[in-house]
Amino acid sequence: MFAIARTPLLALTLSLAVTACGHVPLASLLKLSGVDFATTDISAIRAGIALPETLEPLADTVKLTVLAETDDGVTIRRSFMLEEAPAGEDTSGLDADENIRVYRLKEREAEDLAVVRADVLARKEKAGGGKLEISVGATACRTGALPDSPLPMSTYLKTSETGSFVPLTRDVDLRSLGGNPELVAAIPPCFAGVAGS
Amino acid sequence: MSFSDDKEAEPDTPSSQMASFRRFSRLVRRLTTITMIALPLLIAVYAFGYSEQIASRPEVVSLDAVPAPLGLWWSAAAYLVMLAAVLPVLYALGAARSLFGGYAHGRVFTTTAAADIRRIAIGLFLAALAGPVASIAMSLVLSGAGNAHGIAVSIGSDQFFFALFGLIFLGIARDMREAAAMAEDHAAIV
Repeated sequence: MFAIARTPLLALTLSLAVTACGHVPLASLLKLSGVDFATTDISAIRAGIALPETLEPLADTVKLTVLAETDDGVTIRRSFMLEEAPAGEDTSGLDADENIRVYRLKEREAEDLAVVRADVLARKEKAGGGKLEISVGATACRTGALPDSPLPMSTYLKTSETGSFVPLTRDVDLRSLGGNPELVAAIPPCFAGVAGS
Repeated sequence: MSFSDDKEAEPDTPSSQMASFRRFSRLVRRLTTITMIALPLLIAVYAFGYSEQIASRPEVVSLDAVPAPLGLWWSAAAYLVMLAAVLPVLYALGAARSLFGGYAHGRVFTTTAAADIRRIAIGLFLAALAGPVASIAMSLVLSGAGNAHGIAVSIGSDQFFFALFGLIFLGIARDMREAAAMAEDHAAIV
């Protein structure tokens, strides 16, 4: 049975391999593995989001969420609002041809994250271990009619350890990834009167 | 204290060690088989039976999704996303199954065993890479179902552990290949 199942499983896995390898550079994971949550400079954290010209993240919806689970079953989940970083910041590592917005933690949120980090580390030490998930989420809206072509999205991270922006995902096609091409049609217009709304 | 009732210990000969190793390999092979079958089924139970829980999955945690049940089609889409994310793990388990199957038959230092370990490494690397893409896909599914509004991309310690273990297994595979080649050369000389 397994000999028969191996071939389609291999084909499916290879297909995912092509997708995953094409969109998530392995080198990025290696670079990001050098980031130490315990010591990283919180004020230096930056997230870059590249969307097609017709899509943009809605202001005040971009946030960074930390989810920590310690080995003794304690879960800490906190979200921190991000704001667009001022122009003129170092953008090394970003693709100049992309429509990229760079975000940083709001000053007060950075202070809160420092407090949460201390709490997470203390609990983790007490529990003997745990795992951490960091997520950046945003609600996107459209500024015009969406093209029929692919809608590529890239995301980048920069910390005090990486020094420059490291691509986390590159050119992920939003139109094909959700398994339903109509899905992107549900993206709301940024303001009334947008074409296609 | 008397030891007179103790059973006589089995002599620790190379043949008894090998028999024990083969028994252990058969056990591990059986466990990997069960896991390979159970994992997709458990994910199906989760996706279709407890779809409201998907909103609180770590990879979409930043979306603050509504923990409401998904419709049948959206549950199916969520199932496919989760299945795609664990396919590399299933691939690695398949390789582990083949590896321990070989061990159970006494094939230890062989190029096949080295190739199996290399396949485990590839599976682990792919599992690490699949995480961030799966988070985007899952956020699109939740948004499509109306339980969330947004796109999330996540990275967690699991991804780094997968990549780290992938690297370790890759190193072991390389050493194993060398050892297997040496063993084959040695056998040819004898």
